[in-house]
Amino acid sequence: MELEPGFALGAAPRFHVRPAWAERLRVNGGIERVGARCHPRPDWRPLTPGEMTLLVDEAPPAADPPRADLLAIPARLQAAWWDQAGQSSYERFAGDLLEFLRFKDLSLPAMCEVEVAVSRPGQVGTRPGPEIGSLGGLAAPAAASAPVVVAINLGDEPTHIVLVNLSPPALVGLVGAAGDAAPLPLADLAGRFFEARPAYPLLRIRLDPREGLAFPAGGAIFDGWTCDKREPDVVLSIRSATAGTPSVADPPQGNRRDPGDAVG
Amino acid sequence: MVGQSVAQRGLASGVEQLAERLAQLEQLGQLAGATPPVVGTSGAGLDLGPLDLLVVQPTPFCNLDCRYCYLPDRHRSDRMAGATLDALFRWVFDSGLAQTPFTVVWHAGEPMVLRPEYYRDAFAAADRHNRGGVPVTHSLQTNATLIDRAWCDFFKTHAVQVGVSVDGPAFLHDRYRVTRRGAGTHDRVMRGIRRLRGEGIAFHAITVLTQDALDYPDELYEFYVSEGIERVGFNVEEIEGPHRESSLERADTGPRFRRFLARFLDLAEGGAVPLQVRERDSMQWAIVAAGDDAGVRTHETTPFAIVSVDWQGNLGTFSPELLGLGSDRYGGFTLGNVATDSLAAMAASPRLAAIRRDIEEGVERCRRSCAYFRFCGGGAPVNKLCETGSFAATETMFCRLNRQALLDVVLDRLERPRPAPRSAALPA
Repeated sequence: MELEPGFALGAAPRFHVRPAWAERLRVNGGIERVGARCHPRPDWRPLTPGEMTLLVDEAPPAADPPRADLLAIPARLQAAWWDQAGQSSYERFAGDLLEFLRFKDLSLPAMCEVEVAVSRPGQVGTRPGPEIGSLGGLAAPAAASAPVVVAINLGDEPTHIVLVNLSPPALVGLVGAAGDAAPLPLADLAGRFFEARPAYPLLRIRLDPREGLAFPAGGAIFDGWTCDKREPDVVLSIRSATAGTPSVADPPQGNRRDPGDAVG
Repeated sequence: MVGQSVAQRGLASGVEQLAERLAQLEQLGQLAGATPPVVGTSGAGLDLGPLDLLVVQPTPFCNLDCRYCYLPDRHRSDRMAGATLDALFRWVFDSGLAQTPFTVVWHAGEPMVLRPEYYRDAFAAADRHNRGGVPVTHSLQTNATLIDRAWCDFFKTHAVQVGVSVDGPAFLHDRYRVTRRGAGTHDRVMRGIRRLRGEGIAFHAITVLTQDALDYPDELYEFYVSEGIERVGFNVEEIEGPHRESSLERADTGPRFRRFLARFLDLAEGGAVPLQVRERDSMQWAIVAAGDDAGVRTHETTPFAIVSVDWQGNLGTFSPELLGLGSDRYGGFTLGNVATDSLAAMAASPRLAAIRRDIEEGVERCRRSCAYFRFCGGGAPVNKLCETGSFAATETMFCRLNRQALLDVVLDRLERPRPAPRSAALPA
């Protein structure tokens, strides 16, 4: 099965990253099932020139079509995370990170929930399953309703994101859900998509330390991948804050958040 | 916004605290290079000097070919002869302009393409003629690519102030600061900087801000901190001499420049390592010193407060960048030669009179039309000339960025509560 045109991969404007896509990207032959879970097959290979052309768009991004963009955060912010990680909260770090991303005009929700997930090395996924300590796989229901808009590698060695290069509207068409009365949650879309197209190629994107990926609007089907790691995986994700969730608002200009302020 | 006086804006106590802080920093010698745009007020009898800054071009040659360079003769490998150096310092000290401490900046080419021995002799010439013992500080503005052990020894022996031109991390620096073959120079510059640091030699950095740089205040801050650079100055990419277009000539530059400055100053003041930022310090001086509009003056608009001398001994005043430029209107900007012409002869020249008249007309127009005047004093003549074709002009791109935007940002920071410390960890 071949990749279909989906959202493009690029570098987020106003961020300094060296994409080096040929070394960064791998593609495989789709999913394999472990019980009810969907995990990527291990047959990763470099992309062909045609696949690279299909996926990568180095031109400055326009409003459309949707893109997934690489970004990088300053070393001082990564260091600040580790400095505050042992403390009971990390509001200041989260506030400073969001302030940095907003300066770069990265599209972020007005209210953000920031979460840091620590995962074991050597795993084909990092999304949690229903039982404590279990993996959920690519189609696992998300604990939060809002899709992840940014994922950032806070660790000191590379990590990987595995994803499907198709945005939710494209998936709706492919799984024949266009006529459904209510939009399907992303996890349900993912389940139906993998049922229909288990051999659809997945992309694996390497994120070096301090690098992140800004997902297209509406989110994407993705999971972590830590098989090449020796140290625990530490990935920060940002999503829109839902009602009742502690969140970091857009800080008023000229003010800083105090440690006691709310954060997700 | 700045039509109100500082006192009207309710900033009096903030300004008093600022004045105390600036005085403390000055005592500590941490404000080197931060010259207020407005240097004082004058009565009706504005005269010549005193000399504040002597810019000497030991050679027009530069081993780099930066894309925004304004020096027209940077391919020429001439050098100022010993006799010219001697005549230069004789002229300076005989003129009576050197009444108070002043700085000699060796620049207008890459000064370090000449060896330290050259400057040892040059400094000796200055000492020989400085019979009154006026304090003189020697400063080299360099691209740092040629710094070696001998230079470091020389800097230490002679207490030379060193300024390094570096535009931040390689991805910014190498877009503009290139060799004649177009290759980046960041690696070589960093070798020089690290040698200075290894030898314990204090220096400041000057970074040219281009359109590209305005998106990267965090990356610039992190670069300075990681390279041990504690004092920073920003020059905007100006339209000067043969550099006829600036990447900053865009409609959205003003807001982006303000945003950049505010963000950078947030980091410089609230980050784990505080940085001295020349532009902030100089504008703070201007705010502290601001009076009414009537008598404001600046070094660049005061005859012989700044004196520039090229490698042949040709002398000019006002903006140093004028010296190498031609002019149909004035027939050039050279007022004479240090070997042959006295200050009196230069001061009486019709050329100076014509230049001065137009500069003063431009300053007067600024005084009448610009709300920022008391903090600026009428702009930089070279920018007016190169951007508009006339000294008698008012607002320029340089004004909008390096004066107006800067003042707005600094005043805004004085008005608001001091920010809490930021995430303060440093990379290991």
